[in-house]
Amino acid sequence: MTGDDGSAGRPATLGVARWHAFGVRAADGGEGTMVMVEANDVHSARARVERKNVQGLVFRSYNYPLTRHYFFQFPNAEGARGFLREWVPHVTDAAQDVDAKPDPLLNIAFTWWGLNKTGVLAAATSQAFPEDIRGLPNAKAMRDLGCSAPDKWWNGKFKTEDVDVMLLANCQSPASLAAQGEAIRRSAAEFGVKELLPINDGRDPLDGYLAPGGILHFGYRDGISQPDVNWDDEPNKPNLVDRRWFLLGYDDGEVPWIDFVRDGSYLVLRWVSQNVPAFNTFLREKAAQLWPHMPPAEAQELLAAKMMGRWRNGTPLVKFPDGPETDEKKQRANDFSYAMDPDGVRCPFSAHIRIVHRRDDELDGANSVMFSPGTPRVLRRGSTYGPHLDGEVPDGNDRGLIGMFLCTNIEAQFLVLMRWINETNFHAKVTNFHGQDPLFGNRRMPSQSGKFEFQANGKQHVLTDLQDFIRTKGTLMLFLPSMATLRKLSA
Amino acid sequence: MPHALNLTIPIKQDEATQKRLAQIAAEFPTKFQPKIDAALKKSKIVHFARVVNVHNKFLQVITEYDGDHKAYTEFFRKELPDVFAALFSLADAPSFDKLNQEQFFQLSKSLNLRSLGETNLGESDDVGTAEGYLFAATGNKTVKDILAAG
Repeated sequence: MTGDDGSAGRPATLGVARWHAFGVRAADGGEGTMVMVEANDVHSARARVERKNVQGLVFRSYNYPLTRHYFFQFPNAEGARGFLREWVPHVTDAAQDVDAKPDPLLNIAFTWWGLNKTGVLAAATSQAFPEDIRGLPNAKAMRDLGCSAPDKWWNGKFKTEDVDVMLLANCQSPASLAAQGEAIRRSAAEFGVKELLPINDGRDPLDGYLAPGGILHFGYRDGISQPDVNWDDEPNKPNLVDRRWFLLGYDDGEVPWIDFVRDGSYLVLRWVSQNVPAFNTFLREKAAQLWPHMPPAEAQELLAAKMMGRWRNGTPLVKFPDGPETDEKKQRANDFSYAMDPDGVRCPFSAHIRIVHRRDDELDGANSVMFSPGTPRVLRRGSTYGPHLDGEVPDGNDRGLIGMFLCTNIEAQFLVLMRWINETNFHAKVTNFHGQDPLFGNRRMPSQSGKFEFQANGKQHVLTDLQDFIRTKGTLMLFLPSMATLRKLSA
Repeated sequence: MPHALNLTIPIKQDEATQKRLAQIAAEFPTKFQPKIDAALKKSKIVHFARVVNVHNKFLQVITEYDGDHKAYTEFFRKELPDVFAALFSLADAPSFDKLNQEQFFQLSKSLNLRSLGETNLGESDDVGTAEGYLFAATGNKTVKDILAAG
């Protein structure tokens, strides 16, 4: 998901809320020190978030030039804890001044089975966590079908269940990346931790970079908006988004396990390949069919804008339907409501940004019950990978996005958005019940219409033969613990 | 695309539970039916629904619905708490008001019996195997499709 985000609201369903009713109490035994359930300090539900206890990635995008995703498999609890002991002290917390460009930055997130391999959690605990984090990624809910199916992930070099932990490195220079990488790999070798390498026939890790000017491979500008979060639960801040969408452990009245998860978050990693030649060809051919009398470049920009909901330089269609603005402020405009465009005349209902952040659009009956009064929100982080490509001729290189989505309820936040991307029938006013996000939908979905309906220049248009412009290459459902929990896991 | 829900709740056989079952059955048309009716109309994702008492041993909630099981159960957890509280009170199950989203889904999943055979509609279940057989004269049409067609 790329594009849009950012308005107020309180989560309708929260991750932690699911846990307390189990009342599971872990016991000592097995390897290491088991985490004991502690009574919750009810005052903490309203507490200021201690920045030093939160991994920095939650609070902000780093926007560092280089990003590396290390995937590792632990040999056993001893090896896991030894490795973590070396690297947890280097983890970047939210109190660090990232604007001062400390280098390198590091964050650590675990798959559920990786977390359990540390031996810190009692076996019974696993039943207390939601299925979305305990199990393999729900490919059905994400509509990862056809060439996006899980058996084709990771370039076939390993399986999702092989990954125990992800170390996320953000660096200012190749030298810094190389030096940190050497140290991490030396440490991994010492503790018998196996690195899983998906790139270059299993020789390289998954690297991303900060897209120049924020322009991603399909030519859209990214990073325009993110939710403004009320991190400290301050009263009378209606324009800020509730922190409970993104930080575990602050749900009112919670008890067991809340201390273990507090200040952590779920992190969904999506590795997505973008087919730039196919997209550019689609734009050229369809734009020429739709508007043969318009200059081709202008027609292609209009079609691209209708698919995203923003002109490719960021200018939102709802506010500026006639063309992209040159003014930076207008390009980054985020102060709009779909009440300005209730029938989808300017911004189509299935445009990407109108799906992933519906703002004030009315939901249909079932969805309005599930998400009233809020709407699914996620914090987006990530990088791009692969060389830039203009034109329509494939160059044999892979390119795309490595997206990371932070939330507290994978099902009610991330997976719902994935369902909506693949079937845009959640709007109260939508009549194309089997439409999809024209950019990110998976066309193998059995019931999808393959049609993109929109209005432009006073006419209704229906584009058929939507293609798969993206392909999922890997997904991880991870737990990004607090700093305190990281220390427990490595103790 | 329609999916089948065959929620099958084992009813406790003690005297108090059986009495409560009789009471629920008696009150169903006036107390529960209107609520279910209103919720299903609002949802626009349920094709058909009924509740069947199988010889006082099982209570079956049988529906044909569109979309994901998880999203579907969440709608009903929120929209029909009284109905599910009453139904689950007959079973050896946690009290409904203690069930959160995940727990309610897991419970409903465990009580949902797979139909015999395999679906012709091309969908798989949560673990990737084909869903049980479900005939639909309307094919993959959803409730919204059917209502829109008049």
